[in-house]
Amino acid sequence: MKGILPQPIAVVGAAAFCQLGLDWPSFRERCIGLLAGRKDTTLQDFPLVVPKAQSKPEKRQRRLMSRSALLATVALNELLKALPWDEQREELGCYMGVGASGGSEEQLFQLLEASRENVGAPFSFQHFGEEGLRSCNPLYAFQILHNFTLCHPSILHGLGGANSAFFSRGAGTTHALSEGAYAVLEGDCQRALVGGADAGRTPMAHAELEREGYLSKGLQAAEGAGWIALERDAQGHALGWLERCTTYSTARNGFERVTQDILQELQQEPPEQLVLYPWNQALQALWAKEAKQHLPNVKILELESLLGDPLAAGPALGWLAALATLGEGHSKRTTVLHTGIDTEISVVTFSHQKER
Amino acid sequence: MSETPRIFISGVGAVTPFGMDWSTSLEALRLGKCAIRKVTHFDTKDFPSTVAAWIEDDVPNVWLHDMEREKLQLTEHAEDRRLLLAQMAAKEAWEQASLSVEGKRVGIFIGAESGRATLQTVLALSRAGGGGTKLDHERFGVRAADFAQSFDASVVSPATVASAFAGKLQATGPVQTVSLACASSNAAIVEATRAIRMGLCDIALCGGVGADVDPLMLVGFGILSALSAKGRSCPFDIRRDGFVVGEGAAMLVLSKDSEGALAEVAGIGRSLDAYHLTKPCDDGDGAKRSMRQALRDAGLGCVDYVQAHGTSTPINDGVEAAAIRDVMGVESERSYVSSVKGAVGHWIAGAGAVGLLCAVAAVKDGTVLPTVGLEQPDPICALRHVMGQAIEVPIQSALVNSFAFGGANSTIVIKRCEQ
Repeated sequence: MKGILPQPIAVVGAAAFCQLGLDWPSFRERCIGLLAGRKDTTLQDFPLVVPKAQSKPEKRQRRLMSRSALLATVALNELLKALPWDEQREELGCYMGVGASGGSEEQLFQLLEASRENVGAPFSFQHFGEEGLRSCNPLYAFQILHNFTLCHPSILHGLGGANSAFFSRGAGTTHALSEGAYAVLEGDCQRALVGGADAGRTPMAHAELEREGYLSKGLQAAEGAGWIALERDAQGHALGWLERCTTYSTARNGFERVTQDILQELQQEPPEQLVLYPWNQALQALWAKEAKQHLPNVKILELESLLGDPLAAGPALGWLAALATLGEGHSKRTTVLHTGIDTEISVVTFSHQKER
Repeated sequence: MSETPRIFISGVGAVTPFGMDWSTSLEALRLGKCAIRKVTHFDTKDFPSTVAAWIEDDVPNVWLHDMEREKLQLTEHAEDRRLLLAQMAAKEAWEQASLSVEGKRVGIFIGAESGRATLQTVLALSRAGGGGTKLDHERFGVRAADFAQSFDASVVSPATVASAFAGKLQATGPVQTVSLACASSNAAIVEATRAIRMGLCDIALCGGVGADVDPLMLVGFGILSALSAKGRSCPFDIRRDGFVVGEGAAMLVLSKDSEGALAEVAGIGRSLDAYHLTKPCDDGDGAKRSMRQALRDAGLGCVDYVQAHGTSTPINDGVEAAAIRDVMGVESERSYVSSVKGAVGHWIAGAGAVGLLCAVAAVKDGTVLPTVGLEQPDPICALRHVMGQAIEVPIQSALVNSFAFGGANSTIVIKRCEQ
């Protein structure tokens, strides 16, 4: 099967910040409840309420963060607080799927408004280069550079190892996981943090998604962040073991055919549970139908109707749902199928025990 | 893990302010020419910088068919400059490599940041949001749909270039867009190397593009005081006062096929400074870890030539020079060093890729390009600089650095292929 890792990698920590929970314990509890058929799951409202900064430097730095960077930071704060990884952070790897949702519109407006001679006057290049420039946060340009979603938390937490930021509307975050896993396996770093964060409900992002026609096709744009911590061999308790991580292009053979191929492949060694997380309800229905047909005995957890699509954060939240429902009395092996608006299908499998 | 396969550079291509292909551009670089000049396509009066290294000629669409363009919803009035530049460089690299492989074994790895909405688009956004200094969310909600129709979303998505190339080549291997600011394209080539090593694909089209000569970016970088007020890019020179924005695209084809290869990718390294949003750490710790990792991966202690990040900013160049000396020790005294940014400016997401092409010229033909603009080396940047014109000298190995705002560092080491 495509994407099987040479050896499983331990997942030793997780953090979530999304509609289903503003921390890992509440996210996990709700996922377990959903799988048990509970119908009374309450969701967080948008915009998600961000907790106060943990330190003065963080408070200062938050003023320079995009919404995506803020969400990534808040979730990573939780993860690193729970992990005994205080030493040698300069060697920690860090891989992220990051979105295009950028800087503050209000900053941009201030810049433009200051670029007119007076109220209502036409835009002036001269004023733009002078008064406009002075009106703006000095680091505004960096709110729109995607890698700052990764760099802000890395600076705050001193993460200095191998890294990359993949632009993601789905598959990019899975590429980040694959890269993080191989970085650990090949010894680029002993431990790595992998995640995704995005803010699809900012006005600019929403306008982009509308323009591309995704909102009319049922996209429920959302925001959130999710992280997992990878270690080559678990020093302590592992939440699960990453066994497989890959993406499939649907460009040539079409979405339905590729879905069927993936499910047929999974029949060879079926997981006990599937997490299905496509970006709209039509695909959710298609996947649920195909999954029941190909893997009739597999339990299914459907996420789209609960979480909407937080773009670059989506795959990471899918992994977290899988990890939340692994273990004694739950699933021994769970596969996550995710597809974002980039149309690629991601397949990621976690097992409860290191079996391979 | 099984033995790591060797990765070769089978083709290169570039569009630069000097020309529409790499050989034309290389000739100008060899002679020590400078492409930086006044920006004339918008009014830069009172801007923090009024110059850039920009491409004056119309760039034709030579590679992408209507089908790929249609899929990306590219319209005539909303052309994506990144895509125009990148496709020309990719065509050159792909044709030079002349490799044949199934699409499912081809990967695409592109370093790119967002495209830029036109100023008209930004002004339309402002109008839709009420036109004041605060966003009127209610008004914006009502007008968002109309506003959204006024710009082409594919033009602002970083993934546009990689998606278009995947469509063109029917590539269904990994298709990745790396957005790491100034380290984007170097890191994309690192990812391509890793993907072939990991067996995820056999051939990779990789590289990067920068198209940031526009009002918003000139103001954005100007706010930071990162641009040269003197309008001069002179890396490692005592007179340096900031970088000059440039534009262009550079692409490479990587494969496991050594036949006719231009060079071998021998080592890769990456690190994060975890220090500051805009400054490198004073002791160059992140840069040193990235270089050491790449050298270790290549099995080398030092190289014959360094194509430096060399931005011409006061801090970067001093820190990078010290890091090179520290990493390579006394051996650094025999390593030639130059930075292409003196000639073609700073391409941001595309910078690392054009740097790597310069390194390929060094190991393949022994052509070591000069740092244009460097006349009075700063003592704190003491290295074996190449100034004036290119020199011809045998080069066995070369190292290429890219360091990004935000602290991401990426380094590639290449070796000469003995034919």
